[in-house]
Amino acid sequence: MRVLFVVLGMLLIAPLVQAAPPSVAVEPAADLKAFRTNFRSQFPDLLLNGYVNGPYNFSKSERTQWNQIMEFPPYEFALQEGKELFETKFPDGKSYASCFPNGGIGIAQTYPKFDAISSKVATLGIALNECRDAHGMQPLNLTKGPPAAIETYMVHTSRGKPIDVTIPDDPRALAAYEAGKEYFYSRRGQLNFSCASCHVQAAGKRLRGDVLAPALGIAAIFPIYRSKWGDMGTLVRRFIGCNKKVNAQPVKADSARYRNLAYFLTYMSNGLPMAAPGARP
Amino acid sequence: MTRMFQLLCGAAFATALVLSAARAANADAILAKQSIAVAVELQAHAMNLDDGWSTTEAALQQAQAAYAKHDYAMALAQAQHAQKLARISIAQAESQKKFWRNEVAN
Repeated sequence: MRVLFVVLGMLLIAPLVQAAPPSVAVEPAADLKAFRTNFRSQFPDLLLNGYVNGPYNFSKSERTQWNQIMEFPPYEFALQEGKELFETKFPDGKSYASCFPNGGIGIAQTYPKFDAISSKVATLGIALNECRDAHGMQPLNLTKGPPAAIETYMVHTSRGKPIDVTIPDDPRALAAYEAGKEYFYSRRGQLNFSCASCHVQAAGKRLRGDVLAPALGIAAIFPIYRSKWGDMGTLVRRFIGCNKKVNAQPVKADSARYRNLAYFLTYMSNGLPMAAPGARP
Repeated sequence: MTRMFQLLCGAAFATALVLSAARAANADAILAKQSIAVAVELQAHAMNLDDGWSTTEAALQQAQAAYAKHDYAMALAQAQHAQKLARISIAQAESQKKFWRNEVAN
């Protein structure tokens, strides 16, 4: 009889006891492979390196216009300004070059990086601001203006080099990567769109007059000159714009959300050639 | 004497009216302020869930602007609107937060 009560009791309690959720292993390399496979199955004729050309792979007329625009690249002015700013000395006599390996030349393809000291992801823009801070200068706006110009110059020196973002085997770095991935795939805003809704599931399709760029390769062309903006903008400027489009309240440009998102998104383009600075409608 | 009495009564009535109006305005101000505070908290919660809406923020800003202009009725209406939007955004975020992994597979 006692055994019967115990069994009955266990049966009653069983549904209340939640099994511990299976721990999901963070495997960036496997994600990267799955990400590419997804796009390869969507666009079997498109070569991997071609993804850096974004929407121009899917619209002949826009590609023609782009080729015409690129005869006189609209980012040229920013490139010149960026070079001058990059070489300008700080009051202590040092320059941005002193803060980066190889004097900051040809190293942009390795950003964003995980900084083990601060336990945060540093994008190139944030690294520039950290450099300013180290030399007693005020941080700059991370979305446009002088920092976008400096980034334009720096990424131009990496043009053609394969994107090489590393995710160290450090739980903090893996957590940052995973948070970026979650942000990318989570729906948000009044329109309830995720980044993936447009740039994975609807990549290559039209949203009103615009062709949606695939997420693969999208990080390879920032900073970009957008005709809509009339000037250069960084990747974080685009994040803010995408958030606004779905009626989601953007977060701060240097927030962990955008840092981690940039980390995930750029890692997904690993191996593709840097094609920045870019030009888009 | 009667005239004096009438004047005094009038003044007392007017004072009572002004005081009552002031008290009502003060009550409206308190109500609007409380509503704004609740909306701010809800929006902060939605932002923590990565799903704060810009429309909520816009309603909140309009409520705060109306409050600054002592338009408490408008402030209250906008704050209540912001609260509604924030509650919907929180419900949306909480209901699908656990499903985001499914989208990776799709």
